Amino acid sequence: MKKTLLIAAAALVAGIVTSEAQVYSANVVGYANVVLPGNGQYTLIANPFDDGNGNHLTNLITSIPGGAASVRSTLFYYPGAPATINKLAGGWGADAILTPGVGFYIRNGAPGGNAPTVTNTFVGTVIPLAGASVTNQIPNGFSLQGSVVPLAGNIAIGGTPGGDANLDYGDSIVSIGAGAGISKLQTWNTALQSPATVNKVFSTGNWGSTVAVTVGQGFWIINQGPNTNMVQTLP
Amino acid sequence: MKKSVLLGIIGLAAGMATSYGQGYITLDNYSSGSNSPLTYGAGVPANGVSGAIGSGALSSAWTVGLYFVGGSQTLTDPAGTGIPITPLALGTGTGSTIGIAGGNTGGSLGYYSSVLAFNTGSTTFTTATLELVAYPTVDGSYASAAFRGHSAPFTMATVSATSPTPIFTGDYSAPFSVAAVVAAPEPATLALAGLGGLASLIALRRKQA
Repeated sequence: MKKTLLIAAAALVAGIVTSEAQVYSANVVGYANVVLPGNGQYTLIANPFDDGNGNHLTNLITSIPGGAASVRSTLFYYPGAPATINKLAGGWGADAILTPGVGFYIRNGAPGGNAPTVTNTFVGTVIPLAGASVTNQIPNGFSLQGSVVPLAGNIAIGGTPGGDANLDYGDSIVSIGAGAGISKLQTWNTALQSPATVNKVFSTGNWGSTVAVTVGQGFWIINQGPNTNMVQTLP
Repeated sequence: MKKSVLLGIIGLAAGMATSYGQGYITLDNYSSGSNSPLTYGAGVPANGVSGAIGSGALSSAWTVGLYFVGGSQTLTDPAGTGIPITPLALGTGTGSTIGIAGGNTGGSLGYYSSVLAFNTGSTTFTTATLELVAYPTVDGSYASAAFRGHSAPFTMATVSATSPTPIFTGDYSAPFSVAAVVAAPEPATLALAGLGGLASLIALRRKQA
């Protein structure tokens, strides 16, 4: 049940803007470091902050190599269907909007291209104001997600129907039958370079095992049920 | 010689490096839409070793593994208890085995569902040909088990690392049963048995004389 808001890798500053009418607005800003292992390895991540500039791929991910196919990096994302953008010698071949709540893969360099491991720093504002809520839509079918609020913890807890409070993606989906009706959460094990898929067991309604995420980590939701929402509140 | 060894090492490293994100499958018949559980054959102990005979779907005492080769191959090897035929090779490493009736199936007898996927490592093929095997977990491997079973060979698609669609063995493999391994006697064993019988006959004749 442990939940950490912007753990060690992140820092918070509460910026309080005061007007003449004595109305307060509390934005929370911070940063998070996300490691992208090199040599063509994959990482499944999500932008944890609003960068205030449209959250463009071309601004968010800048330090990985581009160029010929033998060395270049690639973005894989899922705007309703699988999509890829290569990083060429002159920069990203196209742009994508990667707002908080959207998951995406980064392949740092090409296999055998010896791209070094890099740390990508996301900087910006937490989307909801302090005490406010934000809703992330979870459609039927596949979606690549990330926590809109930069939290680390369990999105599902094995043997229970949900996850940590305020990170409870697990409770937002259900399995609607055996076999193909089973909803799932799928993360990417960076160390093993392998997907890890956990079932929401139909007979019990509980998760098959715990699914933990860190700040800035993305994940698949395979939702066999109807469209639904995930609501998070910034404490 | 040294040069060839060095080239071999470089080749191996290159092969490993290019395997990222290629050719994933998932050992799973729990999430498949068209399959049935793995079952006991006649006279097989429930725990795969000794004691009460099992019936129906396999218990959590059993493990599923795989033998595979990249690409689509036409192989003839009916489901049974033998070692899967060449060119199928034992799959090892991440996602290559999973216990039956584990947590990811909610303890459902006869069903398996691996959390981690298995990477065939192929950069050439988008398909793989497999046989699934089942053996008592306590035996540690299919080859060393006295009670075991394997599926018939089947071919399935593989997916890339970033695919949103996990691909399940249970959608391609017909269910199979486990049974006792019947060891075929080796020629040397038959010869020893014959000599033993002959010696007994000679001894009996001497005693009668």
